[in-house]
Amino acid sequence: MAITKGPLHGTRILDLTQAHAGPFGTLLLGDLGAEIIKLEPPKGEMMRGGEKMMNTKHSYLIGLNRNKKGLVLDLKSKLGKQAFYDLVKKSDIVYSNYRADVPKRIGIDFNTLEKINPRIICCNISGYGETGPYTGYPSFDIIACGHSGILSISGEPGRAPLIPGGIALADMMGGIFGTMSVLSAMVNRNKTGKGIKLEINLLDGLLVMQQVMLQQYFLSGVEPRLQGRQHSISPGYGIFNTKDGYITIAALNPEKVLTVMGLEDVLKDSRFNDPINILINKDALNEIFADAYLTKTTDEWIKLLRDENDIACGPVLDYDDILKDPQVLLNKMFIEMDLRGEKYNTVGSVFKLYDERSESLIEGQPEPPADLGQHTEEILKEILNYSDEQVQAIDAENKGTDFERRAASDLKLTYEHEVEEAEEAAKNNKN
Amino acid sequence: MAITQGPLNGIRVLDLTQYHAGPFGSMLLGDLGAEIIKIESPLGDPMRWGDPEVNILNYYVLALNRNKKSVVLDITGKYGKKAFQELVKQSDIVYSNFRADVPKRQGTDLDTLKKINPDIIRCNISGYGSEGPYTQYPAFDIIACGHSGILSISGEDGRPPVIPGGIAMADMMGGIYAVLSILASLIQRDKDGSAVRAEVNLLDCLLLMQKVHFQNMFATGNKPGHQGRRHHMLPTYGIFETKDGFMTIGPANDDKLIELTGLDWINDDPELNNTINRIVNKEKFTKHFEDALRKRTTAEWVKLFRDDNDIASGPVLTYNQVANDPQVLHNNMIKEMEHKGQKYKSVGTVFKMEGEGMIEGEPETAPDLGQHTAEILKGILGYSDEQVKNILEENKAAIPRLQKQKENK
Repeated sequence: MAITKGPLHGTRILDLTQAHAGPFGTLLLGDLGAEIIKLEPPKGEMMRGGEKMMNTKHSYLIGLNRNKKGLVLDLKSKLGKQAFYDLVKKSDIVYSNYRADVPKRIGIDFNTLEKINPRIICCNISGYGETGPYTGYPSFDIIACGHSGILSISGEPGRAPLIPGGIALADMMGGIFGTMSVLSAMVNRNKTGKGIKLEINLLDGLLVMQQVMLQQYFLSGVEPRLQGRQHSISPGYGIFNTKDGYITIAALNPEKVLTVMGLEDVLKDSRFNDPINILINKDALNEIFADAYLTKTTDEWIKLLRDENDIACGPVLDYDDILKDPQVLLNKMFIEMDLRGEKYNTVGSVFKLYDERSESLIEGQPEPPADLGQHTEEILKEILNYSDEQVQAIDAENKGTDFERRAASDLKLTYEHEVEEAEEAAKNNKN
Repeated sequence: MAITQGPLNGIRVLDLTQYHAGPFGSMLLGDLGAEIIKIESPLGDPMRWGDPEVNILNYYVLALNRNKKSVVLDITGKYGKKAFQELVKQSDIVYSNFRADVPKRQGTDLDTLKKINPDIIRCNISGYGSEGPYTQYPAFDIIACGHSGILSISGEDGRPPVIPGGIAMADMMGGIYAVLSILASLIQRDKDGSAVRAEVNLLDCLLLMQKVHFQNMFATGNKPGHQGRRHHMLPTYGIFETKDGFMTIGPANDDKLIELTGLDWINDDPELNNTINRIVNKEKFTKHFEDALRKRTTAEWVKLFRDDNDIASGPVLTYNQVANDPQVLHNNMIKEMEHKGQKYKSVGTVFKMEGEGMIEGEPETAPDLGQHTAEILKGILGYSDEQVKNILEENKAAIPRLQKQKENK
C-alpha cells in the first residue's frame, strides 16, 4: 500500500523532524504523494520513547507518521553523515524542527547542503526564530502559546487561560506553515531551478493566527480579554446553552434571528432599535439570546433557525457523534488502516484535488508508520546503490550508539499503555 | 508599496472570497508574492457593510486584505460577466469561499472556466463539503467548530465549551488548507499543464487539527473531553498559576521539576514517587505541584526553569507585552503600514526565506472598494474609457437588487 499518485509524486523529502510540529508538516506532504524518508538517530525520535516497533497505542506516533519510511543514521558519525549527504544529492527537500542553532552545528544547514545539491530546499521549524534574544531557549507548543498572546484570549473571562481549542495549536501551525513554505519554494524552484532556505517558527505562526484579534488591538488600543463563548463585537454569535445542551450560532442579521425566535418585540426596545444600537448594547442582547435559547432543545432550535430559516447554526457534537455523522463519513475523514494485520482507525487526508474530468489527482492507500529503521537497508541499496558491506558498516555504526530506554534528550515521556498497566496493577494490589 | 518578489511572483489570483476564511488564504498567497485581484460585488465584501466610519468590523478588512487590488464587478451582469471571463483567461487561479452549490449556479465552476482557460486552477472553500446531507446549510466558523468536535475538547471540565483559542479557528484553517491545496495544484500544473479543482471545507480541516485526540480515542476507547489547562497525559505540562499571574511549562523531566520546586519529599510518598505513579494519582500530585508554583513569581520560575536549567517554560504574555516583545519585534512580526496617510500596525508575514526568489518589498494596505477597477480593466484587459463606464454603470444599477437580497438574508 502506498499513495501511488499525487501532485508531489516524485518529490523526495528527507524528514529529520520529531515530536509533533515537524511530523505533522511532513504528514501533509505525504498525503499529497511525496516520498518521505523519516531519518531518525539510532535512539529513535523523541516520541518513540525507546520503542523500536510501531504501536497503534502510541497516539502521536501512529497519528502523525503515515506514508513515511524509517531510516536510521547516526549523523554524528562518519558513515551516517556521508550517507545523509549522498541522500541530499538525490532529494528535493530537507525538513527539520530543531532549535535554531542545531542545523548549522550538525552540518545540515542550507549553506552546507546547497553545495551538495543546488536545488535543495531546506526548511527548519524553530520555537522562536533563527536569531534574536529568545532563540537559545527551549520551546514546545504551550510555551509558544504563552509567548504569542493567544493564552491571554483563550478561556473564560475572569478565569485562568485554557489550552487553545484543547489542541497543540502552535505545533500544528508550525508544521502547516513549514509545509506551506516548502510548497511555495517548489513552485519557485520550477522557475529558478534553485533551492531556497525556509525558516518557520512557532511564535510567528501563532501571531498570524491572531491576525484579526491583534488588528483590533492595534486599532483600538484596548487589550482583549479572555474570549469565552461569544464574539467580542458581533452580537448573537457564539455558543449558547439550550434546554438540553448547546447550540452554535452566527446571527449575522440579529433582527432576523430575533424575529424568527418570536422575539420581535425586543427590537422596539430603544437599546436595540437600529443596527448601531444593537452593536453598542451587544452584551445586553446576548443575555436576551442566552435566556431565550434555554426554552427549547438544540434540535428544536436548529430545525427552526437553520432548516426553516437558513440561519447559520448547529449542534455541539462530541467524538462519538462525529464518528457516526453522515457528512463526516461522506467526506471520508476517517479511514481504516492496517499495521501488521492489526486494523486501526485514523483521521484521513484533507486534500481533495481533481483533474478536469473530476478524477482524483491523489490515488492509493496510505502506508502505516514505519518501525524504527524499517527501511534503512532498502533506502541505502535502492536509492544510493550501497553494497551489503556498506549497509553492514552503517548498521554497525548505528549499533555503536547505545539504544536507550528513554528518548534522546533528558525529557521523560510516558505513554497511555504504561499508565493503563500501572492503574491495573494498583487496582490488583488493592484487591 | 508592494511585494516585488516572491515564490508566487507572476501568479495571478482572481479572488472572489469574502468574510474571513477565504480572505485569510488569499492574504497568505499575497504574502508569497502572488498578484491578488479581489473581485467584489457592488456592495463589497460583507465585512465592509455599513458606513466605514461606524463599521467597527473594519479591522477584519484591514487585517485580512493587504496586497490585494479591489475590482468591483457584477459577475451576473452582462458586462461584469464578460470582464470576469476575460480576466479568467489571463489568470492562474480562481478562488472563492461560497456555499457548495454557488459556483455552478454562478458560472464560476471548473467545468465552465476550463472552456475559457484550459489550465485554470479552481479552489472553493465550503462549510461542509461539496456534496452530502449538510451542503445546503449555511456554515460560519463557530458552526463548523460545533460540528467538528473541537468544542467538545475546548474548555474546562464541567463547564460549557469556549471559542477555541479565542480565534476563528475554522475560518483560519479553511483559508490555510485552501492555500496548501492551491500550491499543490500549481505544482501539479507545472507537471502536466492540466486544470485542477481543489475542494476545501471547514469541517474536514478541523477534524484534521484534532488528529492526535481522535487517535488517542481510537487507542483507548475514551472520549477526550474538555482539555482545560493541562496535557491529557503529562501533569506537569500546561498552564499554571504563579504568585503574580500565569506561566507555561512544556514537556520536561519531572524529577528535575520536583527538585527545583522544592517538592523532594514526594519521592518518599509511595503514591507519587515516580512519573507513572504521579500520572496515576494525578489529582493528588497536581495539587502539590500547583501549590508550589504559587509561591514564586512567573519571572522567578522562568529564570530558574528556563534560563538556569534549560527546561521549556515561559510567561503568558498579554497583547501589550506581545506588541513590545523583543523577539516578536526581531522577527519583524509587527509591521507599520499606512492607509490613506494614516499609520497603523498589523501582523507581519510568517514566511521567512533566503535565496533566489525570496520575498522582497513592503506590503500594501487593504484596498477601498473598487479602488482598482479602472486600473485592472484598462491595464490587464485593455478596456477603453467607454467600456469601463459600462461596467461602472452596471455596478451602480445592481445595488438596489443586491440591497434587497441582503435584507432578506
